[in-house]
Amino acid sequence: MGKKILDRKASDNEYFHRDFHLSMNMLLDYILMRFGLESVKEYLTEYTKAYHQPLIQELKKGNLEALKEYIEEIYEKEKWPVNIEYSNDNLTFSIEACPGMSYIIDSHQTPSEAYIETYRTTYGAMCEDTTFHYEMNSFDQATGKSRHSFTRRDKS
Amino acid sequence: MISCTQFIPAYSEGFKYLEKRGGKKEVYDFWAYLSDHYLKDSLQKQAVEKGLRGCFDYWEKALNEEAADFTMTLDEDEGIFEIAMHHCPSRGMLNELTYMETYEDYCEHCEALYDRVLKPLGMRFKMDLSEVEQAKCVATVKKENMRRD
Repeated sequence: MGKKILDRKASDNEYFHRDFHLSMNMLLDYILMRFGLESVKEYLTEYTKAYHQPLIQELKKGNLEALKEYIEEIYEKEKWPVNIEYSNDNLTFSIEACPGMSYIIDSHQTPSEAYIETYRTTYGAMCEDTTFHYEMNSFDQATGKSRHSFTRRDKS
Repeated sequence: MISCTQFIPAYSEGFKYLEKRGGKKEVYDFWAYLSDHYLKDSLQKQAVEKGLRGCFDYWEKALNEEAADFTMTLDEDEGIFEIAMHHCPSRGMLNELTYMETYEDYCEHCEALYDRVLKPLGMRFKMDLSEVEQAKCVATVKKENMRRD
């Protein structure tokens, strides 16, 4: 049968492993099943405050453009259309479906009941102790079609 | 939304959270749950159908999508499949996130997940994590009870 060898450099491929959406969904389901919804929120808050420290620092300085660039970047990486309305004091973005939930559904799996918290809790935690207020305007639990607003607190 | 490109730090924080709630056992319980659910239709299916060659096919897709820097060697005569990871994108990302405390035993999940699937199929998955600080590792899948004529 002989030997089969495959050599790859990082530069040979693009970093885009969408199966990670499936693993993330399973982590949400596991925490939900073992500890309940408040624990999912607690975990996502801890994640946000740890990983998004640089962005949170920018929001504390009042830099809403940093958030706009962040939203643009993640949807570009997901190869997913996003509509962004932006002014000095407000950023609103909307999507026709969530790329993560869509991939989970396309893979014949079910998005976690707690999936909504990857938006609501994550963006809420991002804005806590900053000059911005986050509001989830709408969210379709079946598709993730949703609209989200970030408003400078003294303008809300 | 947590993008698939942000998954590694999200998982690292997830493992930390589980350990805080239920100790290392909780982390291992989750890895067992993930192995049973996540790998059932992918690695397990391919390994059942094609043995070590199925393992090669599974990791070829996964590691290409993860843009890893690696050499995979399949030797069916010897019953060995090896992945020499020259730069793991996951570990590499965690090593670069110096502003946050990442989960120290993050890389242990690979052996926990994959050996659980392959062991009942007569294969063992083992990892050498001695160079993990440089985002390097070696994973070996060895067929058990190979006849040596």
